[in-house]
Amino acid sequence: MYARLRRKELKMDFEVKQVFYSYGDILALDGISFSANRGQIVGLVGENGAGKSTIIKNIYRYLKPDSGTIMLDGKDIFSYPSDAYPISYIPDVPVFYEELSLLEHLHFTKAVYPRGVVSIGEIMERLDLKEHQNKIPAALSRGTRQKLMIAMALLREYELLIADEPFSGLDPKQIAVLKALLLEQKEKGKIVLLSSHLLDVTENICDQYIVIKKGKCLLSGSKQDLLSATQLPEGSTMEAVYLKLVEQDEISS
Amino acid sequence: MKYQAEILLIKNYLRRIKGTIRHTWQGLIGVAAVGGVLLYQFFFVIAKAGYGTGATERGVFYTLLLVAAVNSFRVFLNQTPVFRIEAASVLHTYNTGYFRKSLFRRQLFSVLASVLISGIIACVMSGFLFTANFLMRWLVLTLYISVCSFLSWIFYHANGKIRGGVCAAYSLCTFLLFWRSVLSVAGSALCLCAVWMYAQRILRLNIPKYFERLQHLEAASAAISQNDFARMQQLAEENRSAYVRGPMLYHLHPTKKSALWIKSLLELIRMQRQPIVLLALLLLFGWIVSRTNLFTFMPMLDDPAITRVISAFCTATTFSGLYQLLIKQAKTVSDKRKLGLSLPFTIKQIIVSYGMTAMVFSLLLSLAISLLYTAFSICLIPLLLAEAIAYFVPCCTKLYETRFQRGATIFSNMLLCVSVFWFLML
Repeated sequence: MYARLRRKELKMDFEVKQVFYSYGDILALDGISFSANRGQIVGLVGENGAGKSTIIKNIYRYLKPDSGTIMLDGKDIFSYPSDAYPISYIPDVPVFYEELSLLEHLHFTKAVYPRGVVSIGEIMERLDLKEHQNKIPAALSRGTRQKLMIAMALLREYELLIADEPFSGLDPKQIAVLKALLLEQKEKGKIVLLSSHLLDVTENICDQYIVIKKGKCLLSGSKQDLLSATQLPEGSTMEAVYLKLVEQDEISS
Repeated sequence: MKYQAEILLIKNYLRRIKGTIRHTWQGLIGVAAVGGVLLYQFFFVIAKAGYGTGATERGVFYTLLLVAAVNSFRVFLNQTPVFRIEAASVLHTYNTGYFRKSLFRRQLFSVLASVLISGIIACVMSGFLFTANFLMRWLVLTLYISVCSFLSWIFYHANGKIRGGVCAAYSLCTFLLFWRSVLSVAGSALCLCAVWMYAQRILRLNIPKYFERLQHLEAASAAISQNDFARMQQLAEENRSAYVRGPMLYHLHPTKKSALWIKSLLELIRMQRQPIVLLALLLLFGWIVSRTNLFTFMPMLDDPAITRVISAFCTATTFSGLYQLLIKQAKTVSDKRKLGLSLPFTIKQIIVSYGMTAMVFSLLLSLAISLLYTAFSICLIPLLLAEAIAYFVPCCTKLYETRFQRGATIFSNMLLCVSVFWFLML
């Protein structure tokens, strides 16, 4: 029994194993692998076209890997039934029903995902959306639209939250609120996969980073691990770490 | 509430329709008027034929051929998915049973639409006699159109070998459509079951492609409903291919003298196909109306005096449309110059360079028309002269931004109509 427990301890809650994906002849994911545990915020870092969006689309089941597996809680994500898919997603580009008000969007989400534990009132309060509740998306500012996307994602029941550039369009106060919300998810034992180019913003909240280049995981680990790998002094920013990593990779290749 | 999501989506749909009516009611009245005229023509044809007079063997064959042609376009060439739901529904409900239900509802609506369309076609073909023959035609057509809808859906999402399978399935269904036997009903029903099962159980949807297309369609319909022409133009530009085809400007070794002329030629080659196809169809329609008996069963279209006017109008509109496209391109260059782009060309040079392309195309088009109408004669020279005036007058007034732009366009269109009519009359 002890051995079984130890095996369970070693098992990661979320695992991407040797995932390959191509768009026709173009190889977008070249055997990418990484893992995360519950209660972790994982930063997906990489230049444009590195494969961040493709891996996100694979995890959210928009695309199916050519080979490899994506496991959540020891189960292949493609084996989850549609009504109990435990992954929520904040997209990089907000998409809405043009003629529904902000409040109606939230009611729609609640109707489709009735098992979500957060209430509409609660999420509106947290994200400061009350004063805009009767406006249609066209009448909202970019930041408020982004907040509505976040609210719709948080209203669902999920174990893994994918946030693709969630900070874009938000002002410093809203960024702080979103950071706090993401940290709350971490405390609740959820896994947060955060893809962002704003390395300075994500620096204080990510537990580990996955640096992606040309569809491969260049390096993964905590900021401390990345600092040791790049031999940068303590206190260096994530931006410096990232640039150093890319430089090292270019020299070695 | 059990159906809250559905109710909210219906609300969204109704509000969008309300917005469209509010912004485009004048256009809608025009569409209703055209629809009314077409319906009148349709009933006139039926009344003339008489109740119980079915289509002839030849008529049935041509009708089925038309149905097959339209459906081949739907399956292989249509870039718009046949079953459409809102882009937001894809994003927010993709991994839920709700998404599958929405899609299933769309498929069901599509089958119901096929039943209705096939019913009308079968009614006309059988002369409004509800016999066993009518029932069989109705069934076969319904099954055929439904199978084609699913094949189009599969073709849109799949690639490679599966597309080959779609081609084979389409050929089989089309064969069954023309094969008059009870077995064709059974065969088509089997086909429908097979493609439906494949679409539901095996087909892996290309969600990123589908989602992107839906977003584009919604943005376009929102722009149309609000009469927002600037947005429509922007969307058309965004929808263009990311890669240019054919020769590049530098391949043709432009000099200062020839650069603008070559540029205008390349712009015309690379421009979107839809306006060119529309103009070609208009030209073809004019020719069919005046030189064939295809539409003589329709009221007024059996009178040669009227058909000649229609064909002259269609031909003149083709010229006018081509000139408008070229003038727009010249105006874009001239506007850039005025906005401060350092182009080493005067307005006169821009007009002459773009005018050369216009005249080359005018000459080719005029030669094609004279061959089509077998009207090749010396009278082509005055026609070309009139075309040159019809191009240069509005072009000069637009590029020099004179007060007579509207008048020049009206004059140009009238000149084209009169000269083409005169040429065709000869």
